[in-house]
Amino acid sequence: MDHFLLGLGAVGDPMALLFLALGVAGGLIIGSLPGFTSTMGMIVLLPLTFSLPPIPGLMLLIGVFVGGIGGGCIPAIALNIPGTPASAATTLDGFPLFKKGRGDEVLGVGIIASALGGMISAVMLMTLAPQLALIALKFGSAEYFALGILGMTLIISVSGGSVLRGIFAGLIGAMLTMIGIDPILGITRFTFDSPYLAAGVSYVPALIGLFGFSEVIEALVSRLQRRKVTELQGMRLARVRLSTLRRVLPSIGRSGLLGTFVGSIPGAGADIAAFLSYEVEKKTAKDPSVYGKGEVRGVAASEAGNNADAGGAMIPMLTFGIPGDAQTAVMIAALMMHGVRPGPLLFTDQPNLIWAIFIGLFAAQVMLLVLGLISAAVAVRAVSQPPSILFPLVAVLSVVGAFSLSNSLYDVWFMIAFGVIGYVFKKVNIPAVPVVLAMILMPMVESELRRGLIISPNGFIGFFSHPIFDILIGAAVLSLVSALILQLRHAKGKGPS
Amino acid sequence: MLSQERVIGVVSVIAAVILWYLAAGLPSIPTHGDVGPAFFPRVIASLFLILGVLFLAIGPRLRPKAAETVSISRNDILRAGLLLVLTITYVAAQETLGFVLATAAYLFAGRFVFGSRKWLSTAVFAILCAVLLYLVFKTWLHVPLPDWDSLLNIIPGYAVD
Repeated sequence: MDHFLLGLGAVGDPMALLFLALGVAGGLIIGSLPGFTSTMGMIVLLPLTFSLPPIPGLMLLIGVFVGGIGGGCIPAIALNIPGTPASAATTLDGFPLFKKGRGDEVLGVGIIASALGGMISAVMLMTLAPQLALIALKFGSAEYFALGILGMTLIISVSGGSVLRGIFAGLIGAMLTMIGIDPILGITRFTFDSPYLAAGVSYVPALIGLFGFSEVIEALVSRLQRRKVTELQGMRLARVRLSTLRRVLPSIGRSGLLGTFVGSIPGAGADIAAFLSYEVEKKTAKDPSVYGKGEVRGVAASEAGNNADAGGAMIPMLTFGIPGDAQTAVMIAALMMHGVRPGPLLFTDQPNLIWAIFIGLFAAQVMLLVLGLISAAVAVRAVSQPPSILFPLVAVLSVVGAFSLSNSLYDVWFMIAFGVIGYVFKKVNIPAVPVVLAMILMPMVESELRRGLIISPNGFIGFFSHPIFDILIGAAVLSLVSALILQLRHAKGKGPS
Repeated sequence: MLSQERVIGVVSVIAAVILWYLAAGLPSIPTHGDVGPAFFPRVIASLFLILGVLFLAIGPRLRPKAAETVSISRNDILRAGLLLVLTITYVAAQETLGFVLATAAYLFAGRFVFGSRKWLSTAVFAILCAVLLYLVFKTWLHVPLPDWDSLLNIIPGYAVD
């Protein structure tokens, strides 16, 4: 209770609340712009958090995270273009409803479902994370090694495209982490006498390049066009009738829980949470045929599922220090820039920070509800802004953001190089997420593996005497093998993708 | 023409060879046996090699039925190249022109490249955004951005402390 009150006090601080509100508002705008993602929004705002105290800085990022996913429903419904990949499932029923003249109601359902789904996941996070942290405290080198491998294999299995390409991306990231100082002995490795490389290759410029600057290249090459909305019908506020709310509440509850569970699996992002929630809702409906033609429960399910991903993704982030998705990878960067290492020890060393994150996530959903309902109609007009205004700004923010990390031009050149790599990866269907997540996880995997091997009298075989290691490695092998088999079957045209 | 899988396979094998060669130059530590600094690079090199062989052997079989083609036209490359040249020039020019001028020029050129042909509003947008970004990053966040004093320094006889 003490920690809860301390966390509440920290979030209740005017500066923290201000940045939380700014983050949600900014995230709503960013999420409602097609071509932008909440990850990109968090990345361009990450440098701002460096000069802020830890809690306001985190509140800003949490706000953008929540607002960005919630805002994605606006163009999904109004333009049939998902603002973020997480809102792709929302287009299926949202746009048909908008065309039928129910824009104010369906936008309201989208925002309410996002906020309530997010609140469910925030409560689940508060309940489950401390218990999992107690289990994580019992982890040794073998368990952490296995957890890192499991995290990588899950990310590779669900990151889309070919599993082999996902492994290729992960190995690229792993290779980059070996540049710098050896984690056990402290000697330089692969630095070619460069003082810059001796500091290692930070994953933050890679993150900015892969998810920020590469999008600018993509938008320019694909000639991303301005879209105009013609069916605004004098809409001012998003509104929902009580009867509609009663109809969608069960869907929101189910999808909130499912989205939280999916989000807690590293690599399974908000888009998977949204689609899974939508499909489950459709399959369990009395008349599945109404879905895809304008069924408001479809909108509620996908939006509740995708926003519930936020709390779910924070479970592995806070308890194990493993990012659940790209957004939590950015949050880990922000925490580490403030000298805070996420993991089970954080629950005992800085419980007020942990509870501030829990409460901040819940408060962000409340702000999403209020700000989203008020601004949805305005945002629908705002999504018509031309890409020529937005993307050059993203490019400048990417350059400045990369520079501000350590005031080094090398980070900027590195960011630009990764922007090009990210664009090429998009073209050849190599997922970018495993690169970044490998850069985060592999230092831990290497140091725990080597430490464990040095201690273990039976070498690697000795690892198998740890039951948790066996379970985690078994799950890792299962996820990779099943993903490969599914892909082989799909390639032969015999099974689902 | 090489398929994507063969290209990735060859790149993986080359990466394995390079990594293994570089790891051979790392010192071995007697007290740490086989798990010295070269251990993990060799593990990654081995995985690259296995992956490369898999790509070359079964990679095409894992391709979806609809053949994957990389559609990058000459125009795409030119547009991407133009953006890269602009961005690299922007970064390099900051030390000489200072942040505000370089950013204003980049935003103006960027909007033009993205298709805007409204010269006046583009210029106003570029200058306003550049000044605003300077105020936010330099004044508020204390990020050491180059000033326009850098530009004055190229005038012969002019020196700013």
